[in-house]
Amino acid sequence: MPLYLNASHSSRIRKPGSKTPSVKRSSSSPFSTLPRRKPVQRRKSVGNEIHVAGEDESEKLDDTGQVISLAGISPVSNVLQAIKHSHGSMFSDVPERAGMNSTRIAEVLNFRRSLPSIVSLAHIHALLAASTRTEREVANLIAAGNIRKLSVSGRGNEVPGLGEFLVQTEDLEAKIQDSRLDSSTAGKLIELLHQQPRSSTVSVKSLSAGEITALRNAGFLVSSGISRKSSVATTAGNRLTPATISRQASGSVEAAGGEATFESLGGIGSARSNSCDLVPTGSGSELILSLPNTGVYLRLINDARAHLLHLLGKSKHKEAPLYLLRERWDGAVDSDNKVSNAKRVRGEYAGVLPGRTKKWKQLYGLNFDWVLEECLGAGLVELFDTGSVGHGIRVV
Amino acid sequence: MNHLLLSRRLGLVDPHAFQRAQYQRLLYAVTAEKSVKFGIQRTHGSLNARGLPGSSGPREQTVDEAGLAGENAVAHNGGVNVLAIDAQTGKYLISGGADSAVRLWDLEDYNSDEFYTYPPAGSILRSSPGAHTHALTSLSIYPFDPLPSTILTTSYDKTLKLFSIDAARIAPVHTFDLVDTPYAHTLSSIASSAALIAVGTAHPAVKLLDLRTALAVQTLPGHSGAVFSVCWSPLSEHLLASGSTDGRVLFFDVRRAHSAFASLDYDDAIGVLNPDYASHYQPRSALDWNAKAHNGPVTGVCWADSGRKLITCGHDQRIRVWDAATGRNELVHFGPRIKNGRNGQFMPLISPVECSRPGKGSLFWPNDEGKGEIFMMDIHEGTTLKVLRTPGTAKSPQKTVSTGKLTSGGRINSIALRFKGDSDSGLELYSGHGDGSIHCWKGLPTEDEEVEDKIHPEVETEQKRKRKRDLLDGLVDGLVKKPMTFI
Repeated sequence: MPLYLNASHSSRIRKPGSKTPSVKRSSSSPFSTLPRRKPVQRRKSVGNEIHVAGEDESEKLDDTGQVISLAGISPVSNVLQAIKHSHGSMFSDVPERAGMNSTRIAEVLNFRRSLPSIVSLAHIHALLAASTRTEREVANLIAAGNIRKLSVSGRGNEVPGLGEFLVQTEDLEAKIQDSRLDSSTAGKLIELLHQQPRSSTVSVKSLSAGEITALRNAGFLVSSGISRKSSVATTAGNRLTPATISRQASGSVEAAGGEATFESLGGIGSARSNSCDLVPTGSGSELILSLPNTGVYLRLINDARAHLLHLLGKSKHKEAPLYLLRERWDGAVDSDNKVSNAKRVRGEYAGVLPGRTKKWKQLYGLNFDWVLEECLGAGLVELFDTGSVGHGIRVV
Repeated sequence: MNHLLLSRRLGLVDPHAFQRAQYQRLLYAVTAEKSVKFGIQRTHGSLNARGLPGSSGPREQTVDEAGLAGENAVAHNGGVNVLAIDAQTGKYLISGGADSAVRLWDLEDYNSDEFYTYPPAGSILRSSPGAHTHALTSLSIYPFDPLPSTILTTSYDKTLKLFSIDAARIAPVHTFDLVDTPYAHTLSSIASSAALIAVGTAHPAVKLLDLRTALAVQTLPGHSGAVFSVCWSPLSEHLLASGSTDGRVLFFDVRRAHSAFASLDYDDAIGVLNPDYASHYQPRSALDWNAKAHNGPVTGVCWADSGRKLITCGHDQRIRVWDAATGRNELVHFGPRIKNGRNGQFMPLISPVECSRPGKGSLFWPNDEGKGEIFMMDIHEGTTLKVLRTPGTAKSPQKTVSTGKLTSGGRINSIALRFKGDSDSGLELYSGHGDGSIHCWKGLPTEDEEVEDKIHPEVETEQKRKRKRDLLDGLVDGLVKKPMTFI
């Protein structure tokens, strides 16, 4: 019988692993199929914590009881420095091995440039100690005309720390000049701003309807009608029956001068104050000053805060040491240190490129320290001192 | 402390300053007193209402309070809404609850047992004729009696009622029918005043009720939203400050025909100055309808520093301090932790005048976050001096953040300070919670601190058990966990 037709193929004892072709080996090294002896660093998914054997995460962190504020650590000492520091440290530089192609890098850089140069007031408070002194300094600077306060309404009072923003007047004027507005409109707006240096609203009586529309389209003026929240308990409508009015002897509205007393004194009744955006803008209503792309900026801050709180929420007890949170924020990236370079030379794939992390994909490379200052200023998180592992951070 | 005593002995410190320093130390030393509770106590199967003969029917109380057990004694079913302590003697605490009951507690009836539950000295319940039928919104004690004998209450049943307290019996005396829900009321504490009660209701006008004629006498228009808070000035019997949901704080002079004469503007840090003295500056007019004190409803208006300052708080999560003479915003920032979302009167408690130097002062802010925290903060600088945490509320962040539930123990509805009472501790703070309990916080003089350090026996066994548990856990971990190998 020929050798290839016998029963040896069915009952043949085969060496283990010989069926798998050598193509499937992860690397071409001859030693790659041998078992590893070093402990494996288990990574469940990108951006998660690095689980080192022996670390017990089910306990709360030590707390010396002292709540620390960033003001002791931050390098700034007054409001103007704080504004400049905030602008400077907002984004991290695009790394060399970015994992993003040139189109994407260009997108990120253009996005950063398009953001308005405003700082939230909560951020300033987080950077400086003695918030009352900061507040007074801000009032002085506004009175002197160095900075301007922009108020953002319509987001309700549930979002903490996103009500007021500061912008330097020179930045504001530069933005107005550089925009697509024609020079006469821009000049008029700058003049109006000079006339009312302390208010966050602009009275548009002297502007024509076309100019107002141009300014609105450019994003510099926003109507103030959004800010009118529905008041909770103004249900006075059911009381206006003649019977109830006639029943009250001397405490009735009639005794105080009738229904229109309030308006005749110069007060703005609720009906008229609610409809100021229905009236055409040429009739002297006030519009709120804003900067273009403020909405994009607010959305970015909101997303960043939500992401930071989500990362903190991954730990039990919702608290973590600061270095750990920073690593989670930056993701398990393939960075430029010796270990990663060595791994790359060997041909192993050590981590993830920055372009794939949430920090760069959705948040355009926001710095961890900047987001931390934002969240501290809004009162969402709190820094404390563990005696052992440095600073800790917890959700309030 | 010894240094202070020596200085007083030598005459270097005058007695008023010494007393102020002592009260201030007591105020800063306020901590939770876990052994004191308020509630209905069951003894021998029937309720013991302290055996006072004139009390309003112990039989009725048994039927109504059948659900309350002695262990979980609560002062009111559904939550304590308002608290008041009489300022003259500090003997009585009066509480009004979400169950429309008004209860009187005798604070001097205290024996320092391990755990003491105050029984109510008198109550009036929903079932009594003439009592409130809905939850209470505000409560105050008529200030001109040596012992509290008349209390004024407002409630969601759109009435303001007067009750008289007579030998631990609370009886209704008069009812003012208001057409809208009243949120706050205030009676001037200046004795020569016309006994006018100012009531802030859901209607934008503030109503004035006269106690002498039992009629509604005046209406003060000016606001364009419900008025959540009103307060007479401690310096002038004609001056009233009010805050409403339109974000404005207005000042009314009740002698005038057009009563509103001034408003507050949060952008204004300079104030309304005399134009003769401020020639180069154009001051704003005193009454500006476009000006707002807060970016949202104003929930509390109160005077501080003997009428020199006004403190307001609102839904924009800010507490603002204003100078009463010029109306300027003092720009005091109290930090990002302030949370306020109440639809009704919600104010900080200002520390008494005797506790601080003129120009300084502190306030207690019951934070509306549902975690049962009271912040003690400096009025002048806005710094947080102390955080008081209600025992029994978890320290870890809860899943439902911000306002939380209405009936949770972490929701503090009202706080009151007992200051000149005849108590073994110098100063006490009482807080009324959404779960119906009233908690006590005591500021003890330092000499008694060593005495209070005794640990309760159950706490000690608890600690021993915890130590044993930790030891065992350590052993198990050592055996079970994989050791790190370095090859």
